[in-house]
Amino acid sequence: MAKTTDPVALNNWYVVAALSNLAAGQTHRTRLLGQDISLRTGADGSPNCAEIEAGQPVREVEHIAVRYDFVWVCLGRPTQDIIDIPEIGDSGRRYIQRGRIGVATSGPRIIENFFDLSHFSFVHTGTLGGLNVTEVPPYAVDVRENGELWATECRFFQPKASSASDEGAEIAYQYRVPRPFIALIYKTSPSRPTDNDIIGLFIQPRDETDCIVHSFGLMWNWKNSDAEMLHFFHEVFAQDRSVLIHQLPKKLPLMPRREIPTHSDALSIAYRRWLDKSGLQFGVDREFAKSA
Amino acid sequence: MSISAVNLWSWYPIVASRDLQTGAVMPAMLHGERVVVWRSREGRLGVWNDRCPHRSMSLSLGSTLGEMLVCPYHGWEFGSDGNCRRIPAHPATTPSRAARARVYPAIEASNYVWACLGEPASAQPECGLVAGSALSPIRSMHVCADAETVALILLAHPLTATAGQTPAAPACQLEGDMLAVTHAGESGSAICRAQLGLPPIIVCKLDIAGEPLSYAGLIQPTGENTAVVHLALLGEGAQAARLALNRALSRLRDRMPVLAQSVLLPELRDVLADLRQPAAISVMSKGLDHGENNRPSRAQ
Repeated sequence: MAKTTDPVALNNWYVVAALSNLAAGQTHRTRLLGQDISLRTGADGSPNCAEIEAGQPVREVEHIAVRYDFVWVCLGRPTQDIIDIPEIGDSGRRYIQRGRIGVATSGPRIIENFFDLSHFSFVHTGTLGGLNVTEVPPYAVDVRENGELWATECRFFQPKASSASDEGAEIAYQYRVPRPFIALIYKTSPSRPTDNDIIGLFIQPRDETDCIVHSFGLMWNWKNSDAEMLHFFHEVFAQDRSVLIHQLPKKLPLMPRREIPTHSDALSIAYRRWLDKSGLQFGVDREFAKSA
Repeated sequence: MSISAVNLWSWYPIVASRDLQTGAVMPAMLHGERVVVWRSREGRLGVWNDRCPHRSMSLSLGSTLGEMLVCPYHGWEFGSDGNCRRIPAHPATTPSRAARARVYPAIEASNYVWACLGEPASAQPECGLVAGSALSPIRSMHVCADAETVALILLAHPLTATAGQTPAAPACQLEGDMLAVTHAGESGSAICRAQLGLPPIIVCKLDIAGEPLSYAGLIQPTGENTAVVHLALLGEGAQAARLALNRALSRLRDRMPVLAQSVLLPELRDVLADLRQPAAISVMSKGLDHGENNRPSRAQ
């Protein structure tokens, strides 16, 4: 697939690598929005990016930045800044980058699964949900003045909310969707119940239905090793991946009645409307429902 | 006239009954449509579109719960009519009528599960060829060819115990609404029949080395260029015969790309093309040699 012509997709910033994964002097090749790109760190440690055609760099990518130890790229003209995550760097939380995982579906499908409460009991049985408590209490959804989509007042009983959990607990959740391909969770920290752990997902859409998921954790957790934290995350994400790759169509249907929602899908309904209004074409399916 | 009518009004075989145990859920394909096949605790059969109406998850990855099929993603429970009965996220809420899986007509006959993607034209599968004899399933095998090509290959190359045993010089004959291909040689004979204008079912009577044996190949069109052959014995047969047919089918699959290019196939296609002319539907018998002037001609 060639580089998308969708301006909404092109004008966003995307994470394309963790800075620590770029070895000095080595070229890292990847793809973004259908465009092959190469990343290379210069003598000063700062990365450069070029668009590649037929194996050769053809255009220097103008918009490249390092934030939160991730490399960010915009292939169009950025209409907004890279999102602000004030908690990174100013808190006592532990910051951990959680690698990159490929998922053969669209970015919006991955984001929707990330903020979905009602799959916990069935997909993450024994950790993020249990079969004895499946009910999703009502929560609030709003679009903020800065254009970000939020869900607040969410709660769910989780047998093991994180690698630091000792026992099941009712966990409060907030979801923040600042960009179409970025979502963050703020959830009660098991080791510090008055505060939040934060988990962020940065989707790198290679193509419309093929993504790399970069993510980070920002946790009140000093008792687990990196390996223990990654193991918990990878177990949870492997479960999500196993459902995501079996959802068809892979592109997220935006039009009502293509898929039948219920009350607990309030954020999903809002996300689809919000994407529709944004004009995004990349990774979404704008067909109407066939008349029966 | 076609021997592989692919239509929305016919029944097609999906799986051998014995391969769908109580409580089982499995995926299948029919005419490019993904379907889920399942059997409830009480033995009720379901062939549905393999898609949960909620978030388009494959229901074939789900499980059965008594008389319900459960979606693996959010645990929605569907009754045998396809309607959602319970949404675990809202146990006190009655699910909307829109929360409904698409259910296809399904039936069990002759030890197979059959499904129809549209309105079935008949109450039972139209398998007159095998009527009166029990089908004893041997094996179901995916092959990479369209249903018509598979049917022609099965007509032109009977499944015999040993490779190369097929008697040479097949002859083609119309018998009412059936096409018969007779293979006769020194080692014995094989008569393969297909019903015309209906879903492809090939029945073959073998009589090789003094051992008569009949089998059926039921063809399930899965995609544009893929099919499943459900191979069954007609009546009871010795285990040795089942094994031999099983092996012969494996050989046939391995040789499929070669057989699809076989000179016999265009000849058979020509016969079928001639049958499309109304005048041609009369007595017709013609040897199918490979010679230039031996194209099957219309009977006078």
